[in-house]
Amino acid sequence: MTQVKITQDALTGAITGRPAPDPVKSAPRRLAPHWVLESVRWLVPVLLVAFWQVASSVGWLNPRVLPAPTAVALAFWELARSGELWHHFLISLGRAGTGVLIGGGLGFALGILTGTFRAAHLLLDSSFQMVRTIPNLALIPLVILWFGIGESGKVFLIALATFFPVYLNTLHGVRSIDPKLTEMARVYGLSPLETFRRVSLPGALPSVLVGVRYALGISWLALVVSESFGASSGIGFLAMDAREFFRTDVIVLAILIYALIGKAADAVVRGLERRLLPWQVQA
Amino acid sequence: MTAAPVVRLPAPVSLRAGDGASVHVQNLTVKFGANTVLSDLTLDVAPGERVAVVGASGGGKTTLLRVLAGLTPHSAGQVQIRQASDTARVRVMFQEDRLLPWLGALDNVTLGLPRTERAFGLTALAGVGLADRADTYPHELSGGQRQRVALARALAHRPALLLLDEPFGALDALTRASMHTLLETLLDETGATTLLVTHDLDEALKLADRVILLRGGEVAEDVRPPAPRPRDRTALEPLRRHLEGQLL
Repeated sequence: MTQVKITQDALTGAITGRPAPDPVKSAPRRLAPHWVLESVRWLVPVLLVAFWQVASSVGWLNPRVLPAPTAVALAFWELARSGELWHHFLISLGRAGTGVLIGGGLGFALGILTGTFRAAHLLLDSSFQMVRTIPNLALIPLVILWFGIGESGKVFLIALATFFPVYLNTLHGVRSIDPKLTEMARVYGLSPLETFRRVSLPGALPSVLVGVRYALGISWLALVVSESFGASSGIGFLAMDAREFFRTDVIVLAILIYALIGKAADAVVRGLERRLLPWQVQA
Repeated sequence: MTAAPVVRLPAPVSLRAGDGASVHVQNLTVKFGANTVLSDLTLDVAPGERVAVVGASGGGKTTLLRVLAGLTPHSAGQVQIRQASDTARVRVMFQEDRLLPWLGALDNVTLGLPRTERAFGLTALAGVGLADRADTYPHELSGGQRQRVALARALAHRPALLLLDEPFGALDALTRASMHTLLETLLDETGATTLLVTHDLDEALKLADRVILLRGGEVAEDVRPPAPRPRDRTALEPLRRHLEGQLL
């Protein structure tokens, strides 16, 4: 097409004496195919790992400091084949799961309570906020004294860590429900219980799920901490045990597993959000 | 949470539920702190009557509606809403649609309806022309459609007294006009006593049997537009100008 159009740019160029931008260049840029964009994302991580491997192979990296990626893969294979890895993995998963269920469950229940009843909020909220400021790690000596070095201490630490994100987000979710909707429910003959079930609960759900997502993330943090003292099983124990024997490959493997589980937990909550909140306007 | 699968009972043909309620308001006074919003207001509305309440902002229109809805307590006076057969059901349509975002249109319409009356939801939704959008979430509907769902919700409850709080205030002029026609048709069908709060004189004169002008928390004017509905605008012009003068 050779039709000449006077564009705004050309006009401006004519007036100011500056050359108009090349019309081809200013045309909307076509995005590359999806798979190209995806592979670009992975370019830097892949290059880093490749560099890491090369550095280890030629001897720049002391394996005592950082083992080669192949060594980590080998450790994974070795531990997976012996069944040791799954054993420790399931134990860690069980601890985190139990802790999240207890901490998150309590956080949800109490968040609903303080969000719904002014008296409960007045009575409990400031106490929770005070406890929230205590760093979990500071509690470890006390937790060991209370629970010994068994399972309950670990679950306690995880429950404590996951309580607050769920509690705070549930409270916020319940409180931020449009009072106009609850008023409507009243006019349309819903009982307080029905109003809670059909208005407050679904209205608070998006915020609750944000809390759950955060809680799952934090539960792994608490897990690492709780498994680094007096544990005789779990991924954390695996890493601590490997340290005794200078098995850096196993230590790096444990770290990688923690990272992957965190990522998986995040994906689970995202899936939950898509399932439970189909009415949310997708951005 | 997907919208619950809807059990579709055969929809009833009519939304009529007996005669409308009668409303007796006597010496009603409402105070917010030191501020008197309604003072010694007396008003009687006959069953099936359509009353428009107009007035400047702060004149107490919405407060009167909220007292009738049981949402605002009154300081003094008496309010009685009676229906011959039954306890009078009062429902409100608000300026905002106030639909629950997590429910589909039909579930919103049947919200709070007793199980035996769920089928009226579909009749009402069909009445506002949205039967095919029964499972659509509010965010997928236009503003006018959402307000029609809100109207269907109010009508599905077959109220004896229908309170409309500037229900079309947020709509564009064209949508508003089509909502007026729709409302008239549906009100003819239901026979509910209706109280319409509006700041739009044309709307009041077009839809109501009786126009009440509130000023300073008191009834300043209580008039009946002369012509039968649907009304010719030119015939109403003198009354319109008179009310406009009272408003300023």
